[in-house]
Amino acid sequence: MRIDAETLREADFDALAAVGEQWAAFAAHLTEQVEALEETLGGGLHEDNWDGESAEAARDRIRAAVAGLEQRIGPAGRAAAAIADAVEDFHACRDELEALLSENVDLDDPSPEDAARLAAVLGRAAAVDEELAARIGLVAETEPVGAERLAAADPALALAALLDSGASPKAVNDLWESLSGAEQAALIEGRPDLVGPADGVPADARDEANRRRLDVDLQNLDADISHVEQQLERAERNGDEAAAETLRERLDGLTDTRRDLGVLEDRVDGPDRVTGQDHYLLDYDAAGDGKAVIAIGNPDTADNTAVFVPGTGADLGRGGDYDRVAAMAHDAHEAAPGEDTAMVMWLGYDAPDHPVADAHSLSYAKDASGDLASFMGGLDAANRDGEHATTTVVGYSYGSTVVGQSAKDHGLETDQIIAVASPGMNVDHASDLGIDPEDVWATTAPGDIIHLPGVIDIPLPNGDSLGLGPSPVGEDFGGRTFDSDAMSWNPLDIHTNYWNEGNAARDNMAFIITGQTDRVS
Amino acid sequence: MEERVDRTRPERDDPWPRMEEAVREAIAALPDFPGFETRAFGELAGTHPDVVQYELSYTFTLADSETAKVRRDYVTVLERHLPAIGYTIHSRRFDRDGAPRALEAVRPDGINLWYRVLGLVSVKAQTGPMPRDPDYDPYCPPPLGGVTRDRDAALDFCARGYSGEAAGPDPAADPYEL
Repeated sequence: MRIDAETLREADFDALAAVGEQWAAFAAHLTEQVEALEETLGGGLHEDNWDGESAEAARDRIRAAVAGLEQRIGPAGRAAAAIADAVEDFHACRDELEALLSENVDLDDPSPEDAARLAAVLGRAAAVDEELAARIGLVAETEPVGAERLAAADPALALAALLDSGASPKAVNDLWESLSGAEQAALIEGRPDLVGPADGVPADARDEANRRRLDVDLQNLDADISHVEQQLERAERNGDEAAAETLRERLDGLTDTRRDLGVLEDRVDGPDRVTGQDHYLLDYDAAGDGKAVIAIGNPDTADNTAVFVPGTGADLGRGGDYDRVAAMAHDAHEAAPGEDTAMVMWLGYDAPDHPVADAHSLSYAKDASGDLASFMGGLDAANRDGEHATTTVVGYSYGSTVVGQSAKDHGLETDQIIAVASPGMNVDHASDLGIDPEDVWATTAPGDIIHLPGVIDIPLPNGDSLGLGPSPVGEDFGGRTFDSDAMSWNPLDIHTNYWNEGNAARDNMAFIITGQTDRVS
Repeated sequence: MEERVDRTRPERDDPWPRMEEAVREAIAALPDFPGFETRAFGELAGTHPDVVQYELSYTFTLADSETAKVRRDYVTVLERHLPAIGYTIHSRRFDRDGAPRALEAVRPDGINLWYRVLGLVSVKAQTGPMPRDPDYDPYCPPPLGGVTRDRDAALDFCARGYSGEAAGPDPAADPYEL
């Protein structure tokens, strides 16, 4: 929009500023509400104070409310910041205009030099106006064209705004692809925290950004550990046992995190020596039990991509799930050596800790479902040959519940689903998973503890049960099944034996993932 | 066809050399053995973080994997050879066309040997569940069958390198030398 000198001089920017302050107050109010609800969850409604089905349901509702509020805080803050920035820039433009006028410039017949100065000031004001429109358009999701304009002005701001708005991975990919190579490189270098976890950004860019994040995190951890060690030494020297104990606990936590991230760094160092494929660090988070998304092979260019969702007990510090992924990558390589199969470990959620005690809780799956759907959407958006590539999601144990919940609530961008040792996918029928039931595969070995009714169904007084839905290996479920071997008499061991040497499940999963379903037994 | 075998005994301290030994015992019987292309060594999660299983895997090249000798004849040889040296064969698998897909046998000490015929053919050895030793930091036994350092994924597992060899195996080692 063109702005003339008279408009700029007479505009009421105080009114605009007041609107911005209202948005800021709204964001602050939402933040207070979130803090109050989280305090309730950590206090009176904590599991230590109130246990049982009703309590869990109440906590789920509150968590959902918190999630809903948090989704609104970002956009409100962005709107406030956009308006505040614009008000400041408008004022600067008006000050420049007033300075010109104070030099007795004739607005109706300026000299060529004054005309150029005047045009520059008014041009800057128009640019401020356009940027404000674009930023507000992004917040309101009403102006896709604004994203491009904003991206041209500030790619980092555009990506941040897009991610805050909860935009789809496809929109994120569109934005990324609209950037020049230099802009992409600058974003990776300058804002790896934005690029690394962003679903829709290509795998190679995410990998580079996450490795930068990891380097910085490791350096910071080393510095923190050194600092705490010095503090601890002082406390022990001064005989301050209380402080020393607190510092020891802190040091233990830092050391554990340092160890876990060090293992992660080693894991993605260099190519896989069996398949020759590169590792891609697609995301990680050291908080809590830790999260990590690692690919062996590039999912954007592979002929086949499989995403493994681990089950109970999975955490960043435990290597077993990554080793299963590596075994599946090697199996797929052996099954189809002429094809490129990328294998991804998606430990992108807080997995329950115990295979029996936590197996009937849906809360973990509900919390994870949106993130898994977003990740799969990101793979789909970034895939360079989506028409011909085959994608499979493999859910193991409780991971299959996550897969089912995600497919049911959000839809999963995948061609096939495999459920291994599933306690139930929280859907009644394979067709509820959003893909052809012929492409839904399941296996449970004879004697697996997951078969035991007490594990997957908690009887309720009214004769109903609190479970995770029917087993996907049941005839009524409507999917296809494949063989797996028990390889033990111990029901708990059987539950973990699916990747054991010689287990038929390994051949069968490799055949499904590489599209050789006629060889599945 | 799979039979359940007891693989929880005996104690398995330092399992890697015995897994290598199982592969060595197998390939010793293979006539005109062409050597391997890759080696891998890894952990598989157990029911508990303190329980672990180890898997060792050697793979033939794709060209060798496509030969009848490696896909079929070696399976026949191993079916005779392994029981003769004390192994118990507990699983034979076949594709729908009758071609062998897998042969498995377990040693008296519980180490399982798996000759697997997919697109690539591999020989694997695996322990049963065993207590995880958090301090287990072995030297890599040098690989069998002429696997070169750049194709030895087992090196990822042992930062200290090969046992008895500071520089690792000679990349030009005779692949027929076991």
